[in-house]
Amino acid sequence: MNARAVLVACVATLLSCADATPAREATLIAAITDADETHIRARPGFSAGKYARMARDAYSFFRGSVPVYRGDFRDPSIGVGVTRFPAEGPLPPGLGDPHLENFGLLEGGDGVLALEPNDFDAADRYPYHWDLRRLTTSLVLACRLGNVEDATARAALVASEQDVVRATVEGYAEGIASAARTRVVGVDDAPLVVDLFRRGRRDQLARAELSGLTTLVDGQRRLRRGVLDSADPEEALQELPIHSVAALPGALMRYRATLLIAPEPAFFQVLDAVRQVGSGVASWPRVRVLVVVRGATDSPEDDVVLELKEALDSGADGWLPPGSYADDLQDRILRTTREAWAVPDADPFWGVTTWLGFPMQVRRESEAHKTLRVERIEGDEGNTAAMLALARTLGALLGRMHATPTLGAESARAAIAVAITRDPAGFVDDEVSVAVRYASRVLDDYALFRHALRERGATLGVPADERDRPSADLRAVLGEPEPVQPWE
Amino acid sequence: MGMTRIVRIAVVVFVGLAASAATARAQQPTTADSPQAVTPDTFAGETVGDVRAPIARGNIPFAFEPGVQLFGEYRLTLPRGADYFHEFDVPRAWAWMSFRASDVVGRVLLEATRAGGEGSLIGVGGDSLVLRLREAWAGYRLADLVELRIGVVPLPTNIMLTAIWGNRALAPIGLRQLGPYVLIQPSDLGATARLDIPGEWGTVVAALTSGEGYAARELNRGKTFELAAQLHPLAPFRALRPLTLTLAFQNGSTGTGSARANRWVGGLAWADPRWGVGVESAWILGLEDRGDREAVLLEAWGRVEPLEVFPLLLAARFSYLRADTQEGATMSSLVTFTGAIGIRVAAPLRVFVAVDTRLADEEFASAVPGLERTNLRLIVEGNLAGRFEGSL
Repeated sequence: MNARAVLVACVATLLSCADATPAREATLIAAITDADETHIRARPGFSAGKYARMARDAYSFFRGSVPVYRGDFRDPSIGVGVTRFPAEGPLPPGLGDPHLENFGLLEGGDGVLALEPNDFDAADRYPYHWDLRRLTTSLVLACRLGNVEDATARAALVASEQDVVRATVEGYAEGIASAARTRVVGVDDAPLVVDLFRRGRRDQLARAELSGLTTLVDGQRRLRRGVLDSADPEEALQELPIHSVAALPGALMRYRATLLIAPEPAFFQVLDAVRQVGSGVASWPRVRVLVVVRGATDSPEDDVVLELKEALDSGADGWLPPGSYADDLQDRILRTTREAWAVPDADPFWGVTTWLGFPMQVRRESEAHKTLRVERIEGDEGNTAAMLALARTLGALLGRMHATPTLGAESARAAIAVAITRDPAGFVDDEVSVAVRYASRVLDDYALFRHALRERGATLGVPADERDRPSADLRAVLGEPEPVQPWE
Repeated sequence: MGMTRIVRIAVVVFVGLAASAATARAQQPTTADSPQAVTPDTFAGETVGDVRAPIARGNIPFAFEPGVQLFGEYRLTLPRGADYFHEFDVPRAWAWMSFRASDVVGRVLLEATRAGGEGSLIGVGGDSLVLRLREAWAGYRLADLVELRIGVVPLPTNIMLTAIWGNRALAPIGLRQLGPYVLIQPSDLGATARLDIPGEWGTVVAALTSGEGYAARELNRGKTFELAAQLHPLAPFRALRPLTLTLAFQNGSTGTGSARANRWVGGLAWADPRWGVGVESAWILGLEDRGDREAVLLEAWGRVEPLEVFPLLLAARFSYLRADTQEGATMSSLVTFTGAIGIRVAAPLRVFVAVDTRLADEEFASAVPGLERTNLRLIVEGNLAGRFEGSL
């Protein structure tokens, strides 16, 4: 009897043994699959595309690994969430993922281009150092990954990465201190930003998105179909099912109601619509639709292209009560955009809606809306002085956002100011240390992620189940991604 | 559907119910004062009691035991350094039906939960309270000593420690929930085997489960094994039987990365229905899907119903978590304390006023703003259960 019991216990123990995955790799995979499980199960092709993109370069991995950052932030043994300078009081409105490539140009209601945060997928309320460290880490990574063709320039930039973080933190402190909602319409000493404005203004005048995305057929503007850029064969525009196109006019009317200054309803008459696949990194699996609408007149010259992107939860934890700070997803996005920007109509076409049950964020698709890119950190845009100026600018932008009072609540600015001015030098030193250390961890994680993807395949080990297949109607809306290219 | 047809259906249903009532020997809902109480209110535990064997005669005697348990509370939260918040909440709303037919046993237990998680804006119908399965299992009893169960089964460590604490409405055991950490699962998909040691020496339970808990799907090939024993080392001495030793071990994995989730648990308690004290300790190997993190949990609790003439209830629980005790890591600590005073308004109804305080060191507090907080709560706990017997 006793021998049998021991045997049963031994067999059970053997059955329960964990796989021999290295602990950090297991942590990575658990964090990513936990956040993406529904997409992996219901949209496996799209998740595969996302992970392939993350595996291709370290910065894309960083962009797609917010769930890992979230887990690390909560884990005191990692240290990225721990600070000697906590700010008590309400949490500031935060971007959630304010990395370098989530800043870019937006064309305001007055037609002026300004540098602003341009991605609000994760925007919510966060501890101030969540956002700040996400930004500083991204800048350290930019130093290490920029200047791809020039090893000497890269080494010089790496050597000054601590100064770059220092400039970011000092810029942030200035943004908090001044609390001025200054609009950044040009930065003379930051060549990367100067170049951004130059290209943005060029394409703004040319309405380059119309020529790039559409064609005129018998005087009627139509969106193109298929792969538009052979260098990126995963990104394509595809036909939408008729029933989903029929739902767009209603969705656009709901969207119109969320705009600060709404054009006439006729402005949003749908001329054509397509599904966009293969865009973004973290948001790769999300539903995206491009719609070309009539604009102010019947002339095809003033047609406008809008992007509808599926909105999801921010991923912010409950933090302080009440835990949720918005009535719904759309409310969260609208509120944080208007708190983040220097002027509420930094993009007058930025709004929200619901389409076929999907909560959607709507923005203008414009070639003038250039985004900062790590790959452009090279040459004159990739020297130390350029990065220092850029870092200070982005730090100040983030500080400006955190200093903004939120609806119905006092500003977090005073508490942050008290915290970070208690020992300014010590604060900066701590932030430098954390950013440099965490950036190294991200690069290590990137190698582990590639290993895991190689070993476990595109679902990262989440078992496939036929029952997860969406309904036929939903599959028609989701479509299929273009064939995912090899990532190594 | 015409009105006549609706009336006919109603008559048929009514006659059917009346006939079944005549067959089944219905009893009044049981209470703590009844010798047949199913969920004695002094021991409102984490799970539902077993169904006693039916005493009805017939080819296949059977028994059904339906029940509900509800915790309703008003909670005033005072987070450190931030504005207060207050809300009404229903931390628990359970409804269950247990059955036993001969030696076949089973239960379905529904619980209310928020459709979206904490901080989530996506849920069913906004963020409605919805019902989900907490338990759904069928089993077989062998010689009234061994019980085998399969399905969504309750897990032993949580049951054993919560039952002797006896005040789940005030606070879960630290292993179940401590601040942001869920250290063990209360139920999971799998199978359990329980041995009731004759002579009231105690119970030993082995469980083999998916390991992800009842609210998630299996994500890896590893299965979680849990072995727990609750023993009364002085069982032969009636007066000393409340002395209770709890030992448990879990070897498990979570997530697609199969992160280690092992636990060693020990506890010693005096668990008399009127009063109890206990200390518990757990060694946590693997924390929050991070297999390399380790932690130590220490807990102490006490409860007493001090007066014979007045149903006054006093209870307190203290928990201390030392996280990241692994070599080379920066350790951090978290402390929670719950104290409560209450009365038993009626046998199945208890009301408490409770205060909870959660304190964290700098490492925890700065990484999780709002973790440090004090709650003042008014709690109402209701337990009702009934029993119906019959035979086929």
